[in-house]
Amino acid sequence: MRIYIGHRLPFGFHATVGFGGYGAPSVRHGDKDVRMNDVTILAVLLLMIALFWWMAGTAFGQQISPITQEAKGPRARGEIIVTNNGLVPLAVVLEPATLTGANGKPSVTPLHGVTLKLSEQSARLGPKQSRVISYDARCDQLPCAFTVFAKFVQGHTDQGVAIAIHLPSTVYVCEKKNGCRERVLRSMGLSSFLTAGAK
Amino acid sequence: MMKRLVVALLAVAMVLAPAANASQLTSATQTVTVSISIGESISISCTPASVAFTGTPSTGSQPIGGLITCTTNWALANTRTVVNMMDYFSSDFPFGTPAIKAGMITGAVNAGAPAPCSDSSAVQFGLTGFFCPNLGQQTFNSSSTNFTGSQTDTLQLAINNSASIPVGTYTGTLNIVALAP
Repeated sequence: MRIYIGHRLPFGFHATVGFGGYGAPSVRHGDKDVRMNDVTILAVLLLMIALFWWMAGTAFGQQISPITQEAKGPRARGEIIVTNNGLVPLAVVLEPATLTGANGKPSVTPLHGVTLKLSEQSARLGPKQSRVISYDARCDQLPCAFTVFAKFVQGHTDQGVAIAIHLPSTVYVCEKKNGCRERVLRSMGLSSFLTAGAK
Repeated sequence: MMKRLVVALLAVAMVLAPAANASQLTSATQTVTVSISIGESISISCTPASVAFTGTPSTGSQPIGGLITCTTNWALANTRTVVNMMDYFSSDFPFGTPAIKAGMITGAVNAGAPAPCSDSSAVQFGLTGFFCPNLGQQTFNSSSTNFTGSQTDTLQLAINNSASIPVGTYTGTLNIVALAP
């Protein structure tokens, strides 16, 4: 199929866009038949540009899983999965921090009290790609909790405001695995983050 | 005649015997435990990935680009109480120049009234930063039915340029975080 557009007509009007597959159709211009112009390539190029612009602008979705993990300490090993749900490559940087709490309020501070090894500190995620980041942690004392923030940034911004997405995955480490999150949050005075059923 | 009858009976017996035996062969019931584990997850999708503006000297509030639309999806266990979507700058000078302080940037969430980002460092849900108006919050209790859900928020950034920011090109980063403590 080809796409055609007509010549300028009298009084500033243009002929409508035409479709055909058997040579350029004609439009009546005054008393003459004027062949329409083949704009198929131009139309395809414009469509591709529009599609690329849409992909670059909208495809920006990131995911982290799991959000929390419980482990039997003092050594904890596990995995965190970061996913780029979009259609544009992304950079992800992993930023670990220690989670503490006081007076009912959580506090995220630079990593301390935990020796943490991540299989990767940063990665580049292709479209629809997931990456499994494994960790090996050892708490100085139990219970302890640490959070790994995955910071996603798309491309490079020369001017203006870039958007960075931060998604956390928290690991709670106790002497017993089951119910560790609840015990840690209680010990930190953060029982307000437990549901009514768990209080 | 008798011989044929015997052969016919034997043939019938041979046909029926296996079926009769088979119907009696029933093994003991075995069970297989099927365990399904679906992990919690949280995701954010923001578009566009950056916004830019060309400022005019000595004018008041000027929008920085268009709307930033952020969609948060979550699938949480019923032990959660809240999901917070927050946005903040890491520094009071987010563009790397003392000419632009965080407080000169305003954010209008979901077409609400613009409010300035804070010029003071604060802690929200354990995070330290110079916070702009929060995008949104979802709270849960034991009877909630939205432990799996999504929320879309919009943010319009603007900058107050009444003090005439020096000519130049500036770049900053707005941090958007979704937390489910």
